[in-house]
Amino acid sequence: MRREIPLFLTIFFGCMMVIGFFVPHPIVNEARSRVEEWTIILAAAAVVLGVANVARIHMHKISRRDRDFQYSFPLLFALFLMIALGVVPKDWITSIGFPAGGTDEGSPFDWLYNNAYVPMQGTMFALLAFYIASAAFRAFRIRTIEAALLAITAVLVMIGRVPVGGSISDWFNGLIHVDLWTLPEIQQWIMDIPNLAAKRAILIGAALGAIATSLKIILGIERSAIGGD
Amino acid sequence: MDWKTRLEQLDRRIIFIVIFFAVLMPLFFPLGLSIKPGPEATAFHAAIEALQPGDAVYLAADYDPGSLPELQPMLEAAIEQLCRKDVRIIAGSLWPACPPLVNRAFTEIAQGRFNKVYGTDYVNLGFKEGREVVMNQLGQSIRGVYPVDSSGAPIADMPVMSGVDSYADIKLIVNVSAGYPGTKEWVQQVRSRYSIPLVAGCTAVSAPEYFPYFQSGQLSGLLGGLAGAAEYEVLVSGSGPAAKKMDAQSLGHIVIIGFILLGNLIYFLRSREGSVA
Amino acid sequence: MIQTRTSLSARAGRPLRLLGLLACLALCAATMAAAAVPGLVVRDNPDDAGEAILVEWNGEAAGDSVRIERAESETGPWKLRRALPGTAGTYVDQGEGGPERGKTYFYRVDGQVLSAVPKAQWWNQGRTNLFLILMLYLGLILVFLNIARRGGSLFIRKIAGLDAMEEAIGRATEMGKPVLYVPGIDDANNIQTIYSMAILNSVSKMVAQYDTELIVPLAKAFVLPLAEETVRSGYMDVGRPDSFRADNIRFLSDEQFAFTAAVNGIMLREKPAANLFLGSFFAESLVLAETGFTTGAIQIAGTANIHQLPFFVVACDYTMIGEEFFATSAYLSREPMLVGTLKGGDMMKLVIMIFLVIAAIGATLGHSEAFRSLLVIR
Repeated sequence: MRREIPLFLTIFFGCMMVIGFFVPHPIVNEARSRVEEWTIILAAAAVVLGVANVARIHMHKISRRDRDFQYSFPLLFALFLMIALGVVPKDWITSIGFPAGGTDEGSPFDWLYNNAYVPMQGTMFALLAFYIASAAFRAFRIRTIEAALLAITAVLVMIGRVPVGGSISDWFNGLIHVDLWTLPEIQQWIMDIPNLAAKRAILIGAALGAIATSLKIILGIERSAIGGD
Repeated sequence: MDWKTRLEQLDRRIIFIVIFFAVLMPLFFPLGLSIKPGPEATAFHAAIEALQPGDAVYLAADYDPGSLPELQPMLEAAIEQLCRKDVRIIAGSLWPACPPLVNRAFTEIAQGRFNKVYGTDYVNLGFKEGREVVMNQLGQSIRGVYPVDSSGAPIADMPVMSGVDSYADIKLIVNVSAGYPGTKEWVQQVRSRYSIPLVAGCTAVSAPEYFPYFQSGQLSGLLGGLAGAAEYEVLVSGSGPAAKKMDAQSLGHIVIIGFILLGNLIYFLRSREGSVA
Repeated sequence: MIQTRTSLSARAGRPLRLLGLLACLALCAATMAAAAVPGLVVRDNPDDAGEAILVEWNGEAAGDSVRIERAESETGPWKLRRALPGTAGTYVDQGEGGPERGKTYFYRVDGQVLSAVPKAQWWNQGRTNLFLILMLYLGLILVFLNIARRGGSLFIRKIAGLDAMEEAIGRATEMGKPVLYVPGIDDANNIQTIYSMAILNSVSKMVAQYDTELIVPLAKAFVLPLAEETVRSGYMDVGRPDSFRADNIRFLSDEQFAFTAAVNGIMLREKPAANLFLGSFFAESLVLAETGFTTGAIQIAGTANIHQLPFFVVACDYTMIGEEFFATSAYLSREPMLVGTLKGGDMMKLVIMIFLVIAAIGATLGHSEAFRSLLVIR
């Protein structure tokens, strides 16, 4: 029963969602809508589960004095501080002198969001630029004709995507007095024609794979995802 | 160790420093490169331009502070154009960290520059957990999904929501997205199912994935990364924060191209040494 | 059902008043004739739950603007629903204050009155084409499933990344270091995440057999019970339930880059010898893969998020592209049922390719609209 019940639920709700896409009648539509509401509630409840998992793992780490256990203290402190600032009644926070409470503008939560969370997130994303540079330096070696094509295309797209590409083309066309294709136009052509053709092919393949996998799960052929063999 | 080996095994921290300065310098000493809007940004602008005063637009802001430098300028420029067109803006988010960013843009643009009134001209519904399910539920009833706005005020009495309760009452969806749930899901779940026009702005990394949707007409306009945001800003107001950062991005691209060429030069010299030996 | 009920009545009085009235009537008739909306049709909006009425007219022949009013009886009271430019051609009355299912509504469009009843449909005809395609695909899968069941030999080409998976886990065992498995940052309702759980099941069995540590960082709380159960059942299946450590299935953060920073931290501190990135990834892909590269781990990636593939290709040892990712469990298990569905997918791809070639020829010969109309989904 441990595996049959999840399998039955998967088949039942999977079929219901598929049928709901093709049948607009309210009897089906409202049932589907109700199931979707349950999903929202379940997703919200899962967040509690996630927080409990984080807390459990780090409390274990501290109690066992695992390696680097001291880092768990600031993590748990930040976790509970942000939760507390978000959920305690607004007037409690304003009563101790803050201009606003909850997640409103001017609240401590908002202050931490803008001054700690936003810069940290931005920094992590900005790392991408550095990693792209080091990966490009290492990976774009012209070892074969295909690699040469790849590197040339990458350079054309990179330069054509930014304003400097247009400026270089305008300068060059002015120099030779001929109206050649500009770098942004070449870049646009690469993105619209060869890039799109390849992307579409991979997209179709991936989408078919996704549909086949969904059908396998809905029909109970693929059971390992729900703990079956 | 000879110089070729040293360059071949170049410490990546040196690459990082060069990139850092290449991006930093133009922010202090702008190059003033001109920006020409491409077809995707022009179509994005035209889709909003076609709206009538009083129409309702759903602004789906699905990102977080990580992609703020790329996406916030798009959101701000879109809000500016929507305010100029005098349309009602209903904003919602499927990313928990996004609502404060939307608030910031509304306060700065809608309220600060156009004297628009919260609840009358625009509303921030805030975050709702549920991803694609929420997208679909909004098609049934916006008030059902969001009985209150991001600060807990009931939305039913707000003038901005008068006559609006589902996609049927929305003229356009403007999506600004950093990933999942985002543009792809809005196309698959809403554009296809409810046939409502959709324009999207996304990070540069994910833009190539959405080009097919733009070509097929499923997206009425597309802004890809900072470059897309800068092109759109040029169309909306002539300039903006993204346009100013394009010099830095240009120089960053040139440095990366420089490293690709350097890597290949070393590789070429090494292989020549090998063939001579 | 379409009903037209335009009625006019007049009463005569004294001759002068009669003349005046006749003049008025003539003027009204002339105005109405000028304002009459050509080709006006009011009907139930098709393919919906019965909560909309469709008003259509000939947009090319209509005047500058069209005023659409609605009432629940033929005599009113009339309520303005929308004033549209004449060129609009259609208006769907739905949404806020829209019609209710089963009730009769009267629409007055620039003087002309028509009525309709909104009805719910049991089938969305605008999606029949998609249903047929889905049935064809399902049919192909079932045919190949049957062939596989009967023992027919079905060939799967070599996928280097999957062959390397066991080698990578073996290497981690030799080095006494853990294996890191990242199932992407999407939620449990994304098929890539669900499928990643299927692969995780195979990986956890391998890891349990070798008695190697397996770390699974998660970005979505919803995936946590799923991953925990999947890994636990993998350990149980090979008879090593005691080796399972629940603390290694870690929910880190819902936030993309907080999650990325935390996984980077795990890579730098715990130095796993094999990093498996299998699932749905976004901008964090290169940050994760480059950090893994610096720690010297064998890295295998697989995703159907095509915009992240270039990053994995440059920074990982093996990358599974698009549908290769979805072939993983069939490839690893060689179970006939799973291989059969894989072949069904391949045949569907062949059907699509043939259709694309025919459609391209058709479009070149000027019949693109015919092919396009076959694929329009409402």
